Amino acid sequence: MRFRIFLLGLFFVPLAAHAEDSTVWNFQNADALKVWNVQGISVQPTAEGFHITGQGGMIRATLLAHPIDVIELTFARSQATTIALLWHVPGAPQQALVQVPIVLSGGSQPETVTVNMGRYQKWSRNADLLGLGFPEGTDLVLQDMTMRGWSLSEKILEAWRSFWTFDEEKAYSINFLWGPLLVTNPVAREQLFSTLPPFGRSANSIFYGIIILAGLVIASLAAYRRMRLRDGARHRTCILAFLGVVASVWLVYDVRMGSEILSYAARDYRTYVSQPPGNRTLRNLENFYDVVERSMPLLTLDPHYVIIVPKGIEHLATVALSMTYPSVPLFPEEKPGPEIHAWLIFRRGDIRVDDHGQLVQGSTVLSPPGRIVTQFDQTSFLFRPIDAIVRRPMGAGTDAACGVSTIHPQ
Amino acid sequence: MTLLWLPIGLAIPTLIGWLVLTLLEGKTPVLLATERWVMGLLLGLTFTMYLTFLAHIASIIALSLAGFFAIQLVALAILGGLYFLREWRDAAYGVSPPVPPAPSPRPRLWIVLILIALLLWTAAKIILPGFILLSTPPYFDDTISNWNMRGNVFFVTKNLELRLPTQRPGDTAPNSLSSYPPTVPMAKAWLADLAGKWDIGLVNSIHLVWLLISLALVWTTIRRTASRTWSVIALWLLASLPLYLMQGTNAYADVFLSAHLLAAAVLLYHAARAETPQQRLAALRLAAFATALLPFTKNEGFLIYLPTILAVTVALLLVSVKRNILTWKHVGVAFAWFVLLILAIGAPWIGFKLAHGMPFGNAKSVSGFTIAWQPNVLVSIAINTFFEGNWLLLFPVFIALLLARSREAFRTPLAVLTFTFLIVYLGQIPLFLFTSLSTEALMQTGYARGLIHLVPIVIIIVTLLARSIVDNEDERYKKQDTRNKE
Repeated sequence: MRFRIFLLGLFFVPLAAHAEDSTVWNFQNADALKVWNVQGISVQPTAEGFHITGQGGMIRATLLAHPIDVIELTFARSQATTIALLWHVPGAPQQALVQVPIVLSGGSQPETVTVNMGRYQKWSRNADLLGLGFPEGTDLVLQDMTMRGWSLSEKILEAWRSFWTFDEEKAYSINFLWGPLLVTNPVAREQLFSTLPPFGRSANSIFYGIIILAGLVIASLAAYRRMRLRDGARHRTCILAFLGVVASVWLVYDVRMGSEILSYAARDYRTYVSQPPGNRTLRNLENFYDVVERSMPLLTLDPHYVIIVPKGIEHLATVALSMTYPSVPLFPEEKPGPEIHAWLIFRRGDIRVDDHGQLVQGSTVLSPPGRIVTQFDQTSFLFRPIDAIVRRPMGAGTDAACGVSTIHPQ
Repeated sequence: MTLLWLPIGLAIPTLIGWLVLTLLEGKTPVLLATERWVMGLLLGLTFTMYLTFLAHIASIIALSLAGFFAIQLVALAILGGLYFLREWRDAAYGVSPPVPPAPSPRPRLWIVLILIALLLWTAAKIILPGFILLSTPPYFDDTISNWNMRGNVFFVTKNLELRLPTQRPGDTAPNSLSSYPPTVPMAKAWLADLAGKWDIGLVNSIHLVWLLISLALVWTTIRRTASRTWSVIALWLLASLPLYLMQGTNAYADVFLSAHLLAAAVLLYHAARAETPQQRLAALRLAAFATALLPFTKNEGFLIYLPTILAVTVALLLVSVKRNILTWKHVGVAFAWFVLLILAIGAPWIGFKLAHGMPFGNAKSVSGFTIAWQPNVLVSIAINTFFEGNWLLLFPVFIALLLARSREAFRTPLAVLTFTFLIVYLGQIPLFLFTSLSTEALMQTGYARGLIHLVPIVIIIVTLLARSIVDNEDERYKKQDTRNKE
């Protein structure tokens, strides 16, 4: 009978009845412009959306029936620029607008920017004015703007899901681990560990809350039953109960963090250990290890080889050094001599082989004539000068070991 | 199959360590049998590498298979000879009985099941990341540019090279000179020499051994005073600390240093708990040996942990005299052991560093700091300690237990461990708050590493204090006090 009453009661609980509220402002019709107060910029309604040029801004009353947690801006086309998202907090002076930068990557393809508004301390979920600001030289087409909000039950569920959302193993993981972070909408959860520092409330504060609450409840119960502090067994029962709560929270936390560390291992197994050469990637260094490993027969032929890696991650040369030592990589600035047997180019779209067979960067010649012996991907390859080939022709075995796949005779 | 070289490579150094510890104990054993083997493995390997280093800089051997092996055979022969000499002598005079572990009543079935589950979970957390460590190339910076690089250079050149190869051969800046003690890379070079090749899985496997040693030392220390149940709990607690586990299952040297610091501190703790002067002096001799090896682990071993252990030792000796457990003569003998061993092991290394102009800091030199308040450091420290996933609930629980059980934490032998932690921790906070070392806290690098070194000690304190609450030792102490008064 009790169970039936419980089931009946569920009908009255608005659990996920309004899981997500969403409002779309579509700018693909001219009427949409009427509600906007436009200043400085030129706004031309088109079939694609508002064609906005010049410097200035546009703002309107929000007039939504639901609070806002996430704003999505869709541009039919845009330029690489930074615009501003503006809002007004109810009750603040009329001119006091808050703004945050929105970075557009630009291009002729539609681009959607999703902003988790909750990460801004000054954000008000019930902002009464919303707007956009544009810098000088703006030329873009704004297609639509979507405001999304979630109910309390959905927020709690999302917080639970975010608790179990793991970071990936990164260079900083050897020094610190963020631990479980709580966010309250799916967009924030998707973006959880993608920014540094990540946005989210540390779950530790919840754990501390649980422990303090448990302590208060147990102490209150003890006081209610008039247990004296030195009341032998019953006093001990209270302390054991409290320690039990602490141990349980510790265990839950251990399961959470242990699972994260095991997820690192599982990912490495999936992407590296279980993959054949040519398909291996490791964490954020992607296929670098694979490229060096496949190049080893050539790289380790002589005491030195040249390596060119993307600017800003020259550290990759040290990684290569650790794999090929006693063969030592040199940067091209070291002016390598003719004795160099191999040039490893990794993710450098600006370096190519010219018509004379030389490696060039723009108009600067880097190497003597030679040929690409292995092409790993669009911008990574292993290059061998002709002199080196003549001086020390490679056996078929070495070529095969290098995984020679694409040969470009010059 | 290459991994088989690991146990082979550790066998003789372990035996050397075991012999040194046994000889230092003399006629008064103060270690559990397991403890002696675990410490033998840890201290024996470092000691063997130290002897190899000495012979190498004296131009007696190269860092080759023959060189490593020769030193180990000579050390084994000398120590083995001394051991058999002592055995023959003690057969006539007799030795004290070995130290028994604490009684361990069988817990209830549901507790046993929980403990088994915790052990299985802990094993999974070590085995799976450990497997990845052995089967993937190095990823983290210090592994690549320091520990493995130097080991590989020693292996290839058979020489203790101080400058590492670089992509910029003209770079001769002072900071390109390696300042770290060579123990870890030499151990890797020894394993590589045995295998005849630089195998990443093999040379990285030693780091898992150091993690297991650390866990085993926590186990044996608790086992001295408490049941197996508490030992399992302590072991689980240490392995549950995510950052410790990360460091332990990667090729970094901080868990290695933490094991050495733990050994030195635990041996002092044993000395403090010893009931007779002979036992206390034997434990102090062992502590002197472990302390003397600290400078040969990492730079922090010399700069931070050696002075701390010495300060705690001096305090322990003074308390021992005050309580009439030791005489001043005993104190002189114990202190002489410390001075002798530290000079014998630490001095050559420090002299070598000075002779070659090697800096004493890791990331930064330790001289030339300007003193000024560094903003945001306290917040950064608070976040790292209390609001990230690094240490679970360790530090709030630790602070609460120190407050709740202050008598036991500060006025029993456990105080040795408590003060070791507090001196180091509180001593380094001003460095972060007032010097340019603040970046180590702001970037969450040096500060967290410092805690890595200390957490095994904290886990022992936490476990023993929690146990005293659960076992209601307050009442026991009271009864004991009453009996003493009577």
